[in-house]
Amino acid sequence: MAIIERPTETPDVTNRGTRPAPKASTNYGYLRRPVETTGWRSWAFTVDHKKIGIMYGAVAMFFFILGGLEAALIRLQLAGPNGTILSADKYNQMFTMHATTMVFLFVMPMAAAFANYFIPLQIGARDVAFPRLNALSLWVFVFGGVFLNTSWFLGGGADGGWFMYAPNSSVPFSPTNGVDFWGLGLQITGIASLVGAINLIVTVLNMRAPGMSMMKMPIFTWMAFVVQMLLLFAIPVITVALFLLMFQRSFGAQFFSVEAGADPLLWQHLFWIFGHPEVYILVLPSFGIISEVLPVFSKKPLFGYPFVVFSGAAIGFVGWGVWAHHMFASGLGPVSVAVFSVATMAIAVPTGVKIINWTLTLWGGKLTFTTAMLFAVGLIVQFTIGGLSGVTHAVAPSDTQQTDTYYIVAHFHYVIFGGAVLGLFSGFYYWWPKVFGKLLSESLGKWNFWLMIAGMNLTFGPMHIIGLQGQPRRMYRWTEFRAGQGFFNLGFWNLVATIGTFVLGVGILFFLVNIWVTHRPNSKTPPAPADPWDARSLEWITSSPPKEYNFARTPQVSALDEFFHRKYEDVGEGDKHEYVQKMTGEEVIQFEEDNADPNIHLPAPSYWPMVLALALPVMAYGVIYNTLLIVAGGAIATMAMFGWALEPADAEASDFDPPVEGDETSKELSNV
Amino acid sequence: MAVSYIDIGPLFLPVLLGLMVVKFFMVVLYFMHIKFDNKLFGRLFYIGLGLAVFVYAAALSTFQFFAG
Amino acid sequence: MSDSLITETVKDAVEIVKDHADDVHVHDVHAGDDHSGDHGGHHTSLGLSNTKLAMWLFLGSECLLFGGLISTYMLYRNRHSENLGPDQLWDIPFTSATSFVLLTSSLTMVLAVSAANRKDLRNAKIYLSVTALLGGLFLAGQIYEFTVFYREGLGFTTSLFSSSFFTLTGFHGVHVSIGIIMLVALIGMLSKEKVSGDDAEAVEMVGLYWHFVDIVWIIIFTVIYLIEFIK
Ligand code: HEM
Ligand SMILES: [Cu+2]
Repeated sequence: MAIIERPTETPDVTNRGTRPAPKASTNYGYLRRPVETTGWRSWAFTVDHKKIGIMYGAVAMFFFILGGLEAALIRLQLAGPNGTILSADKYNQMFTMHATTMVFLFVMPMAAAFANYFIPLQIGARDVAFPRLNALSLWVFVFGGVFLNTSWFLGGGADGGWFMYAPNSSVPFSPTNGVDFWGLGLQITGIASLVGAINLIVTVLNMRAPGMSMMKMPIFTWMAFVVQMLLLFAIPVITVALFLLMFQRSFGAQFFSVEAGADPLLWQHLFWIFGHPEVYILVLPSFGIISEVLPVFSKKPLFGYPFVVFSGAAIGFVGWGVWAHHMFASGLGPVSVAVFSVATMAIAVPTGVKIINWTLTLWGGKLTFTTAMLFAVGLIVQFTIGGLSGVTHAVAPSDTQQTDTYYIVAHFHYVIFGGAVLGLFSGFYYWWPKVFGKLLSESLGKWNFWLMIAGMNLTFGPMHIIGLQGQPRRMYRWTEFRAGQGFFNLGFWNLVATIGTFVLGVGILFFLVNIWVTHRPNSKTPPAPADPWDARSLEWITSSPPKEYNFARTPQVSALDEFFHRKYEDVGEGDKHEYVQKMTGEEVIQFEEDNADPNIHLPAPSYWPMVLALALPVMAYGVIYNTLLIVAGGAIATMAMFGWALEPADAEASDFDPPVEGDETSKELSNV
Repeated sequence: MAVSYIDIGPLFLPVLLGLMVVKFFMVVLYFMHIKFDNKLFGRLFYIGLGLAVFVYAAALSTFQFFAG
Repeated sequence: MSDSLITETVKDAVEIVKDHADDVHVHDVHAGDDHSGDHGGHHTSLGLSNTKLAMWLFLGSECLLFGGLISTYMLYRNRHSENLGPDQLWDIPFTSATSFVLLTSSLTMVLAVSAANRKDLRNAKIYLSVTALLGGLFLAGQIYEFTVFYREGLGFTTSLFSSSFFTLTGFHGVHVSIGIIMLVALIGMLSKEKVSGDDAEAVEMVGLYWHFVDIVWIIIFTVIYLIEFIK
């Protein structure tokens, strides 16, 4: 953030000097704070959670497109028998990188984008607890993602499948550097997630506005909070696995070599102890989003808010006890299989609770089917289909038939695409006016929605059939010879799935077109009203887009759905509730602005997060190519950490250009 | 080896682990102030500790680690 | 306070369920609002320090890191050649001595924290230095031990046992080293003229980290070294 962070309305910044900007040396050797308000530096060095959220989103969107193109290549290859577009080797790289990109570089960071942007707004805070750490998370993620993808140009991507089973991931079976890039890249993005998780948990626990108890928190914040808890404890587990993999591949250890007496199942355990919580990490943010969207467009509060909260937390907890259902076919032994099978069925219960709550929220409501609402309802339907096929493989014997077939691919795309991605799109449409001040076109939005729904069912629906027919996943070719006859002909359904992929692609294209139409230089889209949806939660009690300081005054919270209760008054008697409008959203916001806090302090931008983040890929290249680079990266990191530690939390008056006068060293936000 | 110890046979393992746990919690409770500090700090830590014990013990038991 | 976080959460939940049986929310004013008036400055909802919360969260997360490494070691501890296993290698008296050094450093760390809390900077600096020194001694012992093992033929890649042993103890050693760097940085900070309340907190944070590294060693020393006495 920059000069604007001290809003000019506030009295204490009016007094600006005219001296020239000081040189870095006057600042005890560390760099001058990059306090610019415009241009790329105002983004690159920002610590504003909103700008960070937007950048997370933009980068994640880029990776979504990349992962989508990879998926398209996969489906083109499988459109007909004996596909020739990809070699077996490239095919392996393609599905591995597709999945890795989608999971780690699209859904997780996109959820982080929403969490970053909206958690502080929904709890009435001015920023997250550790703004500089927040910037660090962003850049570590960005550089990690880029690092991971440079493998394409340096000998090829990873090819072991997204769960990279050992010993298949060892050098003899995967001699290029792809797996090294994969392991190190995920190690780096893991750091981003871990730091982000700590930051957001502290934010939720400790930065809530006065009056906002945990049970008055908007539901999205709750779900995002559960996700951060999951990340906090899941990331170290995969970190261990990835270190073992790195030692195995780069330093000659034999952790997964059967010939050395190792148990390759160790990898599977470590991966899935992380991996199962990971699926909730992917899907819970979207559950949170639609739990915001459904009530707004049903004109009713969320049905059974506490149940939604506690079932979310329960999913988070039970999710730790079911990982071995990914390993039913690996010879775990009957007792383990039975235990994990039952635990897995148990976890369907809290998930079912959520679906019931959503349905009852819709029940009897005054529904408006905006695009955001369509996506939310679409999620319920599509996710339920995925959940049902999921139950079929909680039953271990049936899973043994399905495992490693396209049936599994069908299942997890229904839950991941239907559950996570549709929810994220719902969030895009719902919050777009909040973030960018303009409403996306509803008519383009409808095209976007219906094409995506049609596309996803055409793509993933047939995969149930071809899977049960026995087509294995991860096979780069199928042949006419075994394609079968009539309705179950593999050729027909494979072709449908490929056509579906392109329908899906066009649907997503409509989203990009929508953004362009809304924001192109001479666009006729007017600024969005302050409260376009008659929303309910705290993030709407401020202008759209919000000022750098979020709220003109720290809101005083007295109810769940605070914004709604400020707009509407209950005139019913006794148990009968009847709401009449006493204020419009604009009036509520205006009232807050009229009573603005006189003094607002915000943390200042900093170079160091980016510098520190840059050190990580340097070290990672070092592991692969040259130990000297590890040393160089270590040196950069050390320098950055010292610069970071020596830098005061707030910009000093002399950092400004022109410098401002007055003592500005308030520490409202922590200085880490 | 120059060290001498009392041979308590089959009790050795439980006693050893017991002492370890005692020492562990002494440090956590007193040195790290969990006993006197806000309970939330301890809870956050114990969630991690509990999860770690649970998932890794379960994983090791699928390797028949505790059977032999 | 955290009890109130949880009871409050549950109480609110019950209340919502009761009041909203017909699924409509009432506008209830939050009872016992302790954030009256001024909420600028150091406002936090729990009245706890952000940094301390973050540190405890981090340590909770570290449990799963070391848990994974320890489990890997446990799984592979018997997978070595006849003559290069714990039986031949462990030098319990020596490792006991270095362990004792590390545990003592925890004690001096406690003294440092309490001195810092009393704003007794002179003693805080002394105890911090002693802690760092003891940590360094422990590390030196570990390096010496590694060298001895290496001379006896135990390299990183010799066996599954050796790889997982060096990985586990190496990770711990790296943690100790980072702790020492932080201790040195702290001493530097305290030597600056301007001393703020934040410095005492910084000492406390490093203290928490240091004790954690210590308790991890308690486990490692027991289940990796001492346990080999069982025959
Ligand atoms: C854009 C639409 C998408 C299409 C058309 C698509 C298509 C595919 C196909 C055809 C496969 C199977 C490859 C094979 O087994 O040979 C696959 C695998 C996979 N996809 Fe997608 N996918 C899409 C989106 C996503 C998303 C959003 C995610 C997750 C966030 C995802 C996660 C995965 C995973 C985890 C695998 C398994 C890869 C492996 O076997 O290692 N996909 N996808
Ligand atoms: Cu699972």
